[in-house]
Amino acid sequence: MSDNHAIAIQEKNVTDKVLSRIKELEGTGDITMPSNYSYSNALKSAYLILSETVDREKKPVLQSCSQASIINTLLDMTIQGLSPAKKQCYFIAFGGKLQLMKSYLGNIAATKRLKGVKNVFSNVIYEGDEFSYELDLETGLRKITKHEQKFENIDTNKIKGAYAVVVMEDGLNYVEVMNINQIRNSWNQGAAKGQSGAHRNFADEMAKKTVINRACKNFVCTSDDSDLLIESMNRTNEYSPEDIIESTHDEVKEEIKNNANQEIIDIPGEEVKENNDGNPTVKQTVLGDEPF
Amino acid sequence: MIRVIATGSTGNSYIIQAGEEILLLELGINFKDIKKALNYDLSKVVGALVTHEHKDHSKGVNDAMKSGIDVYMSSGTMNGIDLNFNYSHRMPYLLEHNTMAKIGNFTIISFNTQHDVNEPLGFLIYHHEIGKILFATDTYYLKSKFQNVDHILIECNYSEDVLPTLPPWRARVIKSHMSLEVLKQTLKTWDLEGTKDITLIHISHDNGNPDRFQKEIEEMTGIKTYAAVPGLEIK
Repeated sequence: MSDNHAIAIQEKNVTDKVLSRIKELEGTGDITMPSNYSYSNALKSAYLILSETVDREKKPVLQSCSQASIINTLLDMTIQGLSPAKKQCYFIAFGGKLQLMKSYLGNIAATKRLKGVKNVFSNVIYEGDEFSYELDLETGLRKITKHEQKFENIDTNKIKGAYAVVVMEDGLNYVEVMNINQIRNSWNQGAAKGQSGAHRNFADEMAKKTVINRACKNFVCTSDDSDLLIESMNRTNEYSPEDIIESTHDEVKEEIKNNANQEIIDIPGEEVKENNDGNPTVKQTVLGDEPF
Repeated sequence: MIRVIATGSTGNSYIIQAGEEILLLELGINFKDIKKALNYDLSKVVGALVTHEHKDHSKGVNDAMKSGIDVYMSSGTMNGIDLNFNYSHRMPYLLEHNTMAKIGNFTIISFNTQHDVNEPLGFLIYHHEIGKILFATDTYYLKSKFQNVDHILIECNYSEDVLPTLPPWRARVIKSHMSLEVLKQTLKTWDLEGTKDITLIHISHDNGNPDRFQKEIEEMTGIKTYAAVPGLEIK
């Protein structure tokens, strides 16, 4: 059987399993799919992306990852209504298992899937902006009462903060506000410590990402939507390119711990003592089996 | 005598002279610059060792073979180099992990290094005139360890302190080059009793700090340490 044929069969197996599980969940009312999300299209495009995704050993993930983990990943993707083609999520292989990671775009898309959510948006507050909000002590929600911004105020070096709003159908919007110190503290938790090129050159976009991620996280955990969806959302880690340095470093530290500085290599004693014959011939001797 | 002709990511070339014999380490610059460093006298050169196929280590392989020099490398490295047979019918001599080769009065044992290429090697070299020399570069750690080496030439590319400022696309460096921190960890596992000097090579232009690396390794080992620069000579 050719490799291509084997992969084609696997694709049918895997997507069929995901599709039947989704239909089952829909049938029991555990999840409702957004009307504008075609899960068979998303699965098709996910499979195309997966067939070109390799793990760190450069092996195709479809061969190196377990079938169960591939099915669960695709299921998570579909339940949250994410699209890999829109860069809302990524597939990453960890030790023989496939995992779904979502970008902040995916965070927004998944939050919009929750019942009653109309939209998620965020804005940056610059020096000179007129910004005020009030606390509603009955509902515990913040309400932004004023944000006026002049075009001239836009300056990535003069960011005072940012806010994100989860807009609800019933008008009880969820608002998250962060000042620049809180945002920078959050950046400091990342591997780049807020020093990456993106943080320095596009501080406004990074600030929006940070406040949106916090709003989505807090909102999702207080939502009363189906546990299935929330579980799936919590299972999907956020992905940010800044973490690549740190995760590579951790990986290398582990590899060094396990493999480094073990086999002693030395010049055989007889060579060291007597080697004055001046014979320029080349000889090669295999000294032992390669241990690795 | 060990002499640095070039070191770092723009090109590497080192000379070992023991008695009347010269062994070249790396051919990573224009071969005419190596010839110039040898005062255009190739008569003492018994061979050249190349660790891997990256251009900053292998650029001069074709010209060296054309000049009649025996070049030694792994078969993986040979497959990674575009060999030009227009003017020379020489082939590189092949080395592999844990094999011994004799080149003139030099005895060489090759060992695997850890770099993102086909089959990178490091070399443990012995010559009765100069003693044991360890040469390891472009390796983010070593699986092997060594004892009582007289002269150590080893990579010290960057310090982990710079990692937070690295852009994501530079993650490669962590899985291909040796940091100051890993080098310290490595040297602690070696028996350094007979070691006379340590030379830090392939220090990164952007992320390295030669003075600091030299000072910290010398303080830790108590052994005379040099940061390699072109022209450095170790007697």
